[in-house]
Amino acid sequence: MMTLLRAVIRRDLLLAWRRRADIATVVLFFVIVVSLFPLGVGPEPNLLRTIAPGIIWVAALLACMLSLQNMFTSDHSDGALDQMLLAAAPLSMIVVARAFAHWLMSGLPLVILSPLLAIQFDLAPELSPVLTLSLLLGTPILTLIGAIGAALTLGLRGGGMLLALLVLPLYVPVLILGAGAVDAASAGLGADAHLLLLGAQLLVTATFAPWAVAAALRISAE
Amino acid sequence: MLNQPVLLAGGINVFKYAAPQTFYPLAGKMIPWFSWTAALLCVAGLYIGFFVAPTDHQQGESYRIIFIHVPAAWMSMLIYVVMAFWAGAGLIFNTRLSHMMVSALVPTGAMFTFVALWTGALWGKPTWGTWWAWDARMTSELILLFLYFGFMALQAGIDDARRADRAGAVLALVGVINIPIIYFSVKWWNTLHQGASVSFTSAPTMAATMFAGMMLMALAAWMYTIAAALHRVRSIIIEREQGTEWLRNHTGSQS
Amino acid sequence: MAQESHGITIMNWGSWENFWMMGGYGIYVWGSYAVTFALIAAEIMLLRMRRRDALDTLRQHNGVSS
Repeated sequence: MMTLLRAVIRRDLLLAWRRRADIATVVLFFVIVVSLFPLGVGPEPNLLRTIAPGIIWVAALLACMLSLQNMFTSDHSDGALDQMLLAAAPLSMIVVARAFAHWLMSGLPLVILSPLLAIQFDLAPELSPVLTLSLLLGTPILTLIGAIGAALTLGLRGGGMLLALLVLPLYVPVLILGAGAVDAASAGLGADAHLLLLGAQLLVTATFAPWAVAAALRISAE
Repeated sequence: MLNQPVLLAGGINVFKYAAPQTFYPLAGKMIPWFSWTAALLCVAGLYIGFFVAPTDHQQGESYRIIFIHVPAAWMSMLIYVVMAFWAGAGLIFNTRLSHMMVSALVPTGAMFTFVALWTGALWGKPTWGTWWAWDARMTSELILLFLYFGFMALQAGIDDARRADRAGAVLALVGVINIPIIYFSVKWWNTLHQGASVSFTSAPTMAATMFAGMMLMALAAWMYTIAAALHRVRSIIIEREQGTEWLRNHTGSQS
Repeated sequence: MAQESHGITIMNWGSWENFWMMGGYGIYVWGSYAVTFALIAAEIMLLRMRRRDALDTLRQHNGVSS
């Protein structure tokens, strides 16, 4: 089974590498959205420093969602999805592999970029690692929860907007914990509680979400 | 139906009523009972609320909105839980009627959620001076409204009835698991950012009569929900069971 | 202090006018109740319309196939 999963991950990474432009799109979107906010609220440094965690988090959230649509669509159209459904390995394990590969391409770049964006907002240097860590823990959760939405809306007309509508309310706790971690750290309260809870949510989501994604894929593919 | 196990709940074969054909007339008979009970409870509740319950010494007369706001908020959450229950039942037992029940409950749930938000705003303005404050309960209620709308959007976007049922069921179950998580994270977010835990729509210390009025209205809302859901599910049954034999000669009364 | 008015005892209020004014909060209280009951009325109407449409479609369906 491990060889199958490694094969799935390698295949996904290979396909994603061939479509490198897609990765660039997600990253660019992230950067542009983050840059929009100062343009909207004004360049006053104190204000920007305060809202930086929230903005970067919301932008990461939206960027994740953008990339979710094509998580399963290409497999759906070329028949690979049916192969997955018939495979010997449990579908939920294949989903984990798929989600991991997807996160490497769409979530991890955001995590890596976040310190740079923190500088854009003149975020205090000791807060930047907290932000990065919160994104490191949070973006996989976003990918997993988003996968549920992507599986449910596979092939539907409403597409991206419908996916957003379904998934954004479920993102709220992750956003609160993630941005809240940085806020708590800046208030001197320590980000431990937030980060621990985020880690716990990651564990729980990683355990249960693949099962829901698998169920949703079966329902959508019938 | 031949393979359905007989669930001996007081000797009644519960699975018999899982068939739309048997449930349809039963629901029809139940609707008037629930409707009239709801109406009577509502009258009683409003009477106590407006003519028996005293003025609140802190909030004056504006607190009387509570007789709608709290029951509506309770129902909005209860309905989602019941929906999730039927969604799970539908997925496990593969019964169409369970899924139809889910679809029948959603609009009423969304309606009560909106009422809770609307009355919350109108209560907040005279009491706290603002139409909206991002407190834990109202914010959670808003997210609940998004969850309802998301569910309706998903079902509206899927043409195939079976896929719509089962996709909606998965979404309902995912949603119901997330609701406590959302509520507690919003609550935490709120206390962290505001310091003191101020509840925007905190009920005044209840006189017994206020409480009685509120409970009567809550029961009325519950009865109303059941009546509305039964009525709606009957329409859904007609829509979906079009070609079946038992509907062939059904003309139905326009009620 | 009860006062007879239209045969109904207006306990607590003293007069109908006080009742509608709701101690100055009339617009909030009645705004809440009005919208709520309007929504419920709308829901009931929609329920009936849905049933009527379903029965119409059914009749057409039966009419065609029988």
